[in-house]
Amino acid sequence: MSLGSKNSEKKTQTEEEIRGLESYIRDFWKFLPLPVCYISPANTILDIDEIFSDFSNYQPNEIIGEDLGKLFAESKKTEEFKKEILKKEMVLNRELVFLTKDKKEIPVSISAMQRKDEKRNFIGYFFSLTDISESKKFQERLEKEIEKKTEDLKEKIDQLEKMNKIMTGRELKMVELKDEIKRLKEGLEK
Amino acid sequence: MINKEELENLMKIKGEVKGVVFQTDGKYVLEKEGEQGFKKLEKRVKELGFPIDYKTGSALDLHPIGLRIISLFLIKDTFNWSDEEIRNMGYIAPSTSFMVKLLMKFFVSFKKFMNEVPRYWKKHYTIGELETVKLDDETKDAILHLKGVKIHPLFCLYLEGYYERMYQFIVGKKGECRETKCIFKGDPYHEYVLRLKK
Repeated sequence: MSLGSKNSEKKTQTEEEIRGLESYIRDFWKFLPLPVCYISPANTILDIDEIFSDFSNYQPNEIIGEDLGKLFAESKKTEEFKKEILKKEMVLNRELVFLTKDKKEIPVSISAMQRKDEKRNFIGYFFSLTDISESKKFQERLEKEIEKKTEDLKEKIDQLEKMNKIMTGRELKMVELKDEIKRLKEGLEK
Repeated sequence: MINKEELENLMKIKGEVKGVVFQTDGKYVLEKEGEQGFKKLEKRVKELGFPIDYKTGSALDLHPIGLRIISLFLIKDTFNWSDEEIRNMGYIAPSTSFMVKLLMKFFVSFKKFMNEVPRYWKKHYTIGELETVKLDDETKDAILHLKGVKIHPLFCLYLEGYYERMYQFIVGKKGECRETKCIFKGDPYHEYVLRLKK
């Protein structure tokens, strides 16, 4: 086989592999069952998956190009997160409040992973979030229930303490009376 | 009204373009005109005999550059869009482009991206040279020159929208792009001026 035809075969093979990769990336991005986006080092949203679009109510062209901060209600916490992902390769399970396009607030848990180029330079990060509103509601209900039960218990303890005081008072009184009876008996005998 | 002969003449322009441009065209049409509009476009393209695949074509395959402008013409004509709508199509393209996702490592900073602009152009087109001739990292002003590309003024407008959006991706703020020199107006190159919106 000539060098020319070897190169041509290699080129065709490479093109096929690239097409395969393109197809893989596209299918994988479409499959992702979590809201995921890709963020630039300047914290600009560069890509979102379909689930993210459904979750946020933003169409891709409405949110791609915007700052990540637009998606969250707590600016201070968001800035802290942005600083954190610059330093760490992975940030997991930070709680924030997500703002949808129609300004609905949803508590979420966010995670992120850095991407680096072949020279290990930071070139952006993947970012995903999970809706924790149900678990938050459950947690709040649980906390309220615990609070109520604690209140009930405290009441019961107070009542028991009162009863105990009364009983102890009676006991002491009885001892006092017994002593007096004894004294009186001794007096009578004399 | 479109003249088929004019379109076929465009196929004679030398040079190639990556299939990604048709993907972004297709996505824009689907968004604006819905599934029915998209099918109308596909049908028209097929009837005229141009091999443009808006749905299943690979982003990385090369196609005659004439098809790029033919796609813009056919879309504009089919839906009776204004030139401004085509410019907007260019503006939206980066947000749906597979190539932009592949080339995200260029988006690290304003300075890096503007220096990588020639490579970025070459990833899409086999003709022409795009270069940054002015770059101010403080004010974020920049000027691009595109040489060796004479396709159609509609394409110049599309690129104006495209560069404006790319600029906004990089600087993270609203910006504007204006073509201040054009080969079709007798200038030696196309000049695009980029700056932050005041």
